[in-house]
Amino acid sequence: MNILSRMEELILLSVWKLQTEAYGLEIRQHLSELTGQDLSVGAVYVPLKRLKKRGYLEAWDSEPTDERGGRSKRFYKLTQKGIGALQQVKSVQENAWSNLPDIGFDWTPAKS
Amino acid sequence: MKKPAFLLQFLEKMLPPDLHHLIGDLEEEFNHNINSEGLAKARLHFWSQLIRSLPWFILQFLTWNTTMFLNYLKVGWRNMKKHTGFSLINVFGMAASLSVCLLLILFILDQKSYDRFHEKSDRIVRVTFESSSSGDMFATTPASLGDLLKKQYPEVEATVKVNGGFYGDFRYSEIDVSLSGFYASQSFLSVFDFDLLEGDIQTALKDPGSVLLTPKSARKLFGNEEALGKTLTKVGNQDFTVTGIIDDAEKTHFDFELIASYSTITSDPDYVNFFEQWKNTLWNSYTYLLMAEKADMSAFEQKIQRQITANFMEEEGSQIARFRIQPLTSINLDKTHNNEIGFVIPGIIAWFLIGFTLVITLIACFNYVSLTVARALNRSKEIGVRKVHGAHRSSVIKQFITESVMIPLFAFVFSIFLLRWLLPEFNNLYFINFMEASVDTSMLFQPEVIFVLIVFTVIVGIFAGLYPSIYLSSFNPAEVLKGISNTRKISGQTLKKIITVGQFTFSIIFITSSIMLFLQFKHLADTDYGFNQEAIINLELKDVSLSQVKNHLLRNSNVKSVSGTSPVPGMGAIYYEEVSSILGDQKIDAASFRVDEDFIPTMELNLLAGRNFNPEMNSDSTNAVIISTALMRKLGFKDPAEAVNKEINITNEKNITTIVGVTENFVASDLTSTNDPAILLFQPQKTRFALIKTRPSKIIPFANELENLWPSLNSAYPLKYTVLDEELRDNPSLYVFIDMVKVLGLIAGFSILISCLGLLGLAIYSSENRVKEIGIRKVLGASVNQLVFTLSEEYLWMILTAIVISVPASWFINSLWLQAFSNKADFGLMVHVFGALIASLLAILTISTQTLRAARTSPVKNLRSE
Repeated sequence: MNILSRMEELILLSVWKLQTEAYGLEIRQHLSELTGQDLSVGAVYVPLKRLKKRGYLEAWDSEPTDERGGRSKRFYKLTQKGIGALQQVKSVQENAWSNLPDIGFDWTPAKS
Repeated sequence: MKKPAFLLQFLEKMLPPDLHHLIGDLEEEFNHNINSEGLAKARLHFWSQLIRSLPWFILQFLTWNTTMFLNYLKVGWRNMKKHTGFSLINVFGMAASLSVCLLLILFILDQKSYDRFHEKSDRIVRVTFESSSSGDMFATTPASLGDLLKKQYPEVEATVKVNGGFYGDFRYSEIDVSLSGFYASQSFLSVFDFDLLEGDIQTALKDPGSVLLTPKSARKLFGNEEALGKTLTKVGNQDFTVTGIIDDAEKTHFDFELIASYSTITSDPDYVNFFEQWKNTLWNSYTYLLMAEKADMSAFEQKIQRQITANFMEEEGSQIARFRIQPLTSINLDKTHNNEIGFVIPGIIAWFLIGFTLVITLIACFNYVSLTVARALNRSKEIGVRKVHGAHRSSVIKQFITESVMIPLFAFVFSIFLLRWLLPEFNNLYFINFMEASVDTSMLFQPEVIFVLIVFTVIVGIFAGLYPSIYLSSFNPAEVLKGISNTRKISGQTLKKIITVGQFTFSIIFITSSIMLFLQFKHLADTDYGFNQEAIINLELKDVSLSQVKNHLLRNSNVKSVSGTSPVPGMGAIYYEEVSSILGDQKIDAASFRVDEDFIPTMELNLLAGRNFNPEMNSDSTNAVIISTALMRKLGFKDPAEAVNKEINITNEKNITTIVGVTENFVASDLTSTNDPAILLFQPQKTRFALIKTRPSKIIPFANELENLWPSLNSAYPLKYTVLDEELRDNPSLYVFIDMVKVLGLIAGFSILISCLGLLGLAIYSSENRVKEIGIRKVLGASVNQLVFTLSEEYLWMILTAIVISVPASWFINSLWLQAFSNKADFGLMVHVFGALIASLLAILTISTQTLRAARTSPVKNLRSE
């Protein structure tokens, strides 16, 4: 199983967080708030589509609404596989962060 | 309007439907932002989103469209394979018409490439003028105009003066060669980029008496000797020094075998004044200008008009109505200009050819239209399903256009093969040879030519597919999928009829016209000249007198008679004399011939009344004429006997002249007219040709003797003679006629072929569709003959309608060009009947292949499956 990228991890987490409101725009806004950057449509949609293709997410379209000019929303929901992937990335991360020695700013590499 | 609605719609068009929810996101965000942050910020945000996502959007757009395009290709290819017969009909029809189109495109591309090799070709123009008397355009302008314009207008950078009429016999040691070309000023070599293979480009045309030869002329005169620096003699004129060898391999409107320096004609002090006079050089001088970069041509053209009144003050008024600036590269295929300096294909010929090709293309496109629309029912389910799955009408249109472009692209491959066969035929046409306008096969391999051809092919495809795709895409999926609409409603019956009738109308017109052209050609070729051209040698007298020739030749046993004339009748060259009757003031232009007393017996003209000229009578040379019956009628005399001894006026002759005889009409100028008014004047001293009648079948031995005899006549010129009946047969206008018969015949053949292919397609389809009906009819006792008739009836009506339309149309169209001929073939109704018959027979033959098969199949087979 591939380890999720940071962006993918964040997207999966926002879908989890947003629950029934997890569609394109909300996800993007949530992520923008989270990262402090104004993310572009493509930057969010491309990983979303990839995650769906890998089976971490499932998606369905809502009925069209007036507010959106007669276009539907695409909602996303985590799958079991997606949750597994999130847990994996979390444990990898925790492992990576644990048992780190002192950062040692005063240490310099030996000159050869 | 708060929303950037246009942009949203544009995005919706661009992006695949799968991504439309993203546009929804954008719009929702925008609406949301208006409420929370105001319009300006919302807009800013929207644009920032749009611009940052644009590369990705474009990528999506491209992938989506490629995917769809590949799908269209796949479906199109499957559809072509499934209906191989129809596809082949379309492909072959298209191939036939495309090959003609491609040939024409090659021809025009080739013609348009003339004079493009000059580096400054886009800045070089020629000044031409419109005659005020006839309204015709002339390629010539007064000789002094160029210098005048250069002096007065800063936008003229350089001027090239060219004077036509440098031709004659040129002699080097023992060799005589007749060559023609022109005089050109020194700037000719600097403004135009002709290569000098030998010689100095700076000085080659500087000194009087300098001449440039083409490699071919140099070889003719000097053989393998070095030509540069040698002296050659223009017989009867002066000596010239060869100062260069000029390359004439490039495509140019100039036609020359040699070029003399302009200073040759202006070095004569007597001529300087002559050349200043506009009326003297108006018909023979050419002015080319090199314009400054970015010069305003139309403004310049306006400005120079005032030169006419300033310089051309003649009692009889200006000959020039207006000057025109003609760009160098559009000299070819432009409006016809008289006194052209070389061979130029007039635009009108190109337009005629374009017209024919357009009709052929239309006929082929119509095939596609009628066959596609007729079979619409087969595709209607597919269209319905596509639409139900969310295809826009525009994508259905795209799909059908893609399909319709595929057909001509396949046809393109076939048409290249056809072209390989057509091209040599085209190049063999007389006028193509004559104009040196042959299209080189190597053009077919030039990338830019291939590009143009393919672009044209695609355009034809789009054009052909336009109507069918719009029509097919209009189907309502609910109706077609439920099967509510029936064949008759959906398959465009009226359209099919109109198209078929149109195709056959054109085909019949083409067929009839080519038959008429051919008959007219036959008629002209068989026309009796009114004189006997057999066993006559036509000798150019040059500096030898007629009496000298007579003295020498009449002693020869092979010679029957010798006569002098100027010009020789039937050769196209003509002088006119203005004639009027003594009473009336109506002036008649009569073709005039200066002849001696032996002209009538030698040519065996039929003298109807009066007598021949008599050298014994002094008065004959001043005031006796013999006229043709046509002139006699025009002068108001009822019969020859009445005209004899009557007096008439000839404007250019001082004396009142008497008609001493009347001859039967003969061909004065050329075969297009057998009854031109003609007048014979007794002026033996002014004759320029000797017509020598030999004894029967002695013409070849005599010609050999003539070669030996000529030196004893002490002429400065080389011997020039022709055999009269051969020369008459070599008539260029007859050859051009054969060309036209060939071109039109091909067009007719192709158009009837394509139309029949279309008909075949329709017949196949309708007999397939009516298989059940035929079966039932057969079971109920219809005979094969009755069935064939039932199936063909519809088509017979269409062809009959086409005949009814085409007969008067072709009669009218052909009467237009026939007006130019007073010597017309008698066509009668048979030509039209014949043309219509050919077309109908071919059509019936085509249909019957299908109807017979359909009518013969056993009803058991047809009715069992259900």
